[in-house]
Amino acid sequence: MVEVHKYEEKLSYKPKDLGGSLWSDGWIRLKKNKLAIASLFILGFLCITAVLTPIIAPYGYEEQNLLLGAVPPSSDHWLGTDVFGRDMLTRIMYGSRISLAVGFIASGVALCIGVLWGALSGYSGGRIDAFMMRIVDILYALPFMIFIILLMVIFGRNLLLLFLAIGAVEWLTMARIVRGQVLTIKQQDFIEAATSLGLSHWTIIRRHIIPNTLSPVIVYATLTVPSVMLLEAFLSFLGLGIQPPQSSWGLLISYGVETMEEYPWLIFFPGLFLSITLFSLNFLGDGLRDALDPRASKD
Amino acid sequence: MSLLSVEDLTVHFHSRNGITKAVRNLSFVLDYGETLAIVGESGSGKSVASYSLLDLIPKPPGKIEAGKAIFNGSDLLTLETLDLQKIRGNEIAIIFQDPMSSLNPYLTIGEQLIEPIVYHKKKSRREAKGLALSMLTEVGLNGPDNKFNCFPHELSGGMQQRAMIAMALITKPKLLICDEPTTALDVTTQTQIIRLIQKIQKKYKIAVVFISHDLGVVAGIADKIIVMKDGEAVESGITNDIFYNPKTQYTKKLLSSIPRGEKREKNYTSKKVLLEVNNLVKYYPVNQDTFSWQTFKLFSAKNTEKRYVKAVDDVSFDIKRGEIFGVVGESGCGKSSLGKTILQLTSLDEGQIYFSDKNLVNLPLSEKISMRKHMQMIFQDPYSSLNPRMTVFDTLAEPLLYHSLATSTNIQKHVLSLIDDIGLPRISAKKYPHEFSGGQRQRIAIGRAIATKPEFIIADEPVSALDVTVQAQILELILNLTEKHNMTMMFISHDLSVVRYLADRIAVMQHGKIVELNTTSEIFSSASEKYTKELLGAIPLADPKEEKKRQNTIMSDR
Amino acid sequence: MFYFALRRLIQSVPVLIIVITATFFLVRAAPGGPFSAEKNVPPEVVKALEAQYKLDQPIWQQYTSYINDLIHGQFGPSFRYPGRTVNELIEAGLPVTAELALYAMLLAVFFGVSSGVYAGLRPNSIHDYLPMSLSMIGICVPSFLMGPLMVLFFGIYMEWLPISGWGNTPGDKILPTITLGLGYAAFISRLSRGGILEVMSKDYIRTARAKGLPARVIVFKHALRGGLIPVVAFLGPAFAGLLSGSFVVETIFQIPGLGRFYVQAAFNRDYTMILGTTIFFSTLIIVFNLLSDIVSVWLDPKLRDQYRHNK
Repeated sequence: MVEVHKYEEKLSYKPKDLGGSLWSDGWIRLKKNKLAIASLFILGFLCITAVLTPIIAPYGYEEQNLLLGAVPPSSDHWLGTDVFGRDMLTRIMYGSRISLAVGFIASGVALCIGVLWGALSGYSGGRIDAFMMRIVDILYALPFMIFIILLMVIFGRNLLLLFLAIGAVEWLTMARIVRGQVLTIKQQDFIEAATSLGLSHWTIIRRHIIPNTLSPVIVYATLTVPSVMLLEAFLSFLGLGIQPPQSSWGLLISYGVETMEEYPWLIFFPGLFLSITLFSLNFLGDGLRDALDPRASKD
Repeated sequence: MSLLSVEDLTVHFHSRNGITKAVRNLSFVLDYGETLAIVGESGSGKSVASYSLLDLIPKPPGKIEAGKAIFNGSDLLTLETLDLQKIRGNEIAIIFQDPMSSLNPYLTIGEQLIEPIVYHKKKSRREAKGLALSMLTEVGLNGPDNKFNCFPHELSGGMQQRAMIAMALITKPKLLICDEPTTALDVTTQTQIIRLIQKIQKKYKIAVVFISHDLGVVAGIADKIIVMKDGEAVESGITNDIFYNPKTQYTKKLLSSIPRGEKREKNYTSKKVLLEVNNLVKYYPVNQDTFSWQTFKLFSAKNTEKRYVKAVDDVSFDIKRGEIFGVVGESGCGKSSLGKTILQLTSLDEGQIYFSDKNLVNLPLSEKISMRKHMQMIFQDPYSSLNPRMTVFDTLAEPLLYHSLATSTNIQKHVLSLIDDIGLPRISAKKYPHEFSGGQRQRIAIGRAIATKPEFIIADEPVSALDVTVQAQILELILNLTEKHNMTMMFISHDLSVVRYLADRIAVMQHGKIVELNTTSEIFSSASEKYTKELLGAIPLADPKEEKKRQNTIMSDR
Repeated sequence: MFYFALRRLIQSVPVLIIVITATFFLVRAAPGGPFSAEKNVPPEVVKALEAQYKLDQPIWQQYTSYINDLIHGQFGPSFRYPGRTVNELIEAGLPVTAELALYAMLLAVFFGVSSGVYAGLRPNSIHDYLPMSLSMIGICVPSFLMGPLMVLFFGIYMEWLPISGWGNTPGDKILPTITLGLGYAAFISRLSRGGILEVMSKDYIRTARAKGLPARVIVFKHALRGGLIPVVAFLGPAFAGLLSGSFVVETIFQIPGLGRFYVQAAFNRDYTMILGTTIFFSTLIIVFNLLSDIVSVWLDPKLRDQYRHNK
């Protein structure tokens, strides 16, 4: 009669568990969310395509066809061609590699740094925590966008630098989230119970704290990817991100803008792919959040 | 004609897991000026029933399936929203269990107080303020002008509840519903609030519906009682009948779950001292997270340079092997801090602790770890004392494996026998904490605590968060296990009657100090300190005749 | 409260100093700039630079004299436009960008809050799903995509609205404002919805209902105060975002604002301009974040008290 208990005790919802339910339960709940599952499939498809691009792309990356010029979608070129006669489908596929790679890798970097920083800070508590969080606060106040632009201008448009710069921006919020979660967990009695059993700090972190922080980390990581991709696209659009001959969706969009009146498909298709990817990531992230902690209010 | 007549009230909750029948065919009648108590454990439907009278239940998933509630001639359940609004807060008022969360933290007390008058009686804000001020005085809040401009967090729990009462009564309603109004308060405050409600009820001839999980609390105030279980009224009648002549099994069970009387006989204890505490002091620095009424008082009383609160202030006592040592006090008295410091979960600031003649503070690390085997703790909140990501098996196995009391070959045998000891089915081993009820989780927590066969256990309010009938079971379990394994126990609680049932000796704490320390029988028969007497006087007696006697003495004392 | 504000102000100073210092040294380190050995630079500019930056002096003195100049509001001469100073360019571009950002912010807050609160009060209904789906579009279609699409549709196909300039033709402020503000409106909408949803489930709202208060009082007086706190806290970062968003919008719509100057300066490697505008923007952002922080604390009586007692 746990359900009754829930309604009787507090008529306004107050979750008693921590971090939601377990993986299998969460997976079942996720499966019910059609939108999230659809998003998962779409993302899976895009990732596989991106990896296999060099093998399955219909045309070469640099293959120009100057006689052809820009043509709208046709049976030869499903998504049309650009002013140099390059096949758009191919260019978009190659662009996906960069956009997705930046998205996942930079998020990964942010994840690692953020989780370690936040967990260490939250678990240590006291002065160490205050100090580590003060650093986060100061860095948070820095207008990063401007700095990234500055870095790109000064040191050139280096892909590695881009990864690092973007990762350096996103880890801050992750650190805050993880620290908050660790602090909440620390206050739970089972941590004290573990201490009273004599478990070492490391054992407690490993067995008791980390498994309970995983859900918000997963959710937030999934939501960081689109924000990173957006950042990269934004920079590339301004001409401050990826340089040719590499291309990303952002860069393709900026090219498309230049000729959008005559050749609208040049902006439409890259834009479509970017938007669909962002949508899918966001829906998946929302779905994960609902599945892993169904009592969180949406957004 | 009666004030309120409820017939066959039925309320269901529709969720994706099915239908929960929260209230089934509830009927009762309430007259002007009468007090009706609705008593039940969690899940009984007592709150849902009252809330549905005023349409306060969340509508999906809740639904009033059937029933009538005739109040003053009209059926509350079928009224239009606008008409019902005119009744809410005006003719029927409600006060809730947790005043801190029931008051809007962003508005002043005064602002919230005048709202019912302004919207129901259509008076101007100035007139309303006047009424509000006199109401504040009437509920016992001194300095009403000051309180009027306070924000809720600036008041203590008791004061907040008084403010809520003022807010409910300012329109002189005919019916007041009190939903567990004292559960979140200290026992001495509880008595004051109940007396206040009684006084106002008599003065303004208000009918009261008093909801509680505690039969003892309502003994002195109810004219009629309904006992609810699983949504149904199991028994109802006048108070004396219910207490002296209970008819149903469940009511009898409720009555017998109230711990009464002395500790049961036990063949006793050696005189050897197991734990010795000398001049223990524990400071807590006051930072943003611990802003509470207590610390606020400390601040304004002494100079504002003091950034520390003495949670444990020069405490000394010893505990003999085999005894059950009770520590009693209200919230903030330091009893929990005392327990945690003894167990070395936080460091002490001054004083010494000797366990088995060893000084706990100076032990080398390896000995400290092995000492942990012998001292364990049972925590209060069954919902946070178990790791939600570990199965029952893992939780129980951890202490055994860590302290090498079992190997991977025989661990299964050990854990299963432990599960038997705590009274759970063996299949529980594979399950996760959220699949269990509060009482069952507490059993698991107890199992973890006794796994290493410790010599000493500190139980920090182990049953306070549980239903009354479950409390009794868990207390029995604790007693049996301590006897079986010959354990010494320190039992911390705010509930004197529970402690009386278990403890050999009792220490009464207030503001970090031990105010009185004596054997149980001495404390209950001839307590010497004023505070102890206050505490004793506040214990609800589950005996209507005794309560009436006590009330009359208090009245005549005035 | 005053002391809290003061403390926060003082805490912002190190941040500002870090920004200025970091920018200063980063720009110095740039290869191919005016401060490196290469001198493909017109002689007048060299002279102006050397005079301004005293390049023959040790770097620390250059730093301190730059700070000194900053305090006096001097950002130095432009690197690419001989004869013009960074100050002039900032003065020309700032009012435009400020107006754009202001309109976009107003749009974002107005539409965001009203749609979010509307949706939050009727959860899981069509009134909820529709605005939230639309807001998802606002979040997932970035401004540099939305902008051109709107230009295409409204400007070129339908010819309803002008697509470039600011203040030249009537109605030319509409598209840029929408482009910039839409994404933020979407996010604020979600934030408001979440905030309202959470507040409405709180106990004190139940108390307000139990007192028989009319619905509009419950929403506007009781719920909004707590529910919109996340939105207020977001305004600081939103401002920073609007500023950076202006880079894109001004580029697309050919608006002569500070954002566009900044992007062009970045392209042209106009180092002094970059230096100057970076510091200027950063200062603005820091100030706005500071205000946002202070207001957030002021709105919550519990926090207000905390900070009063814990100077």
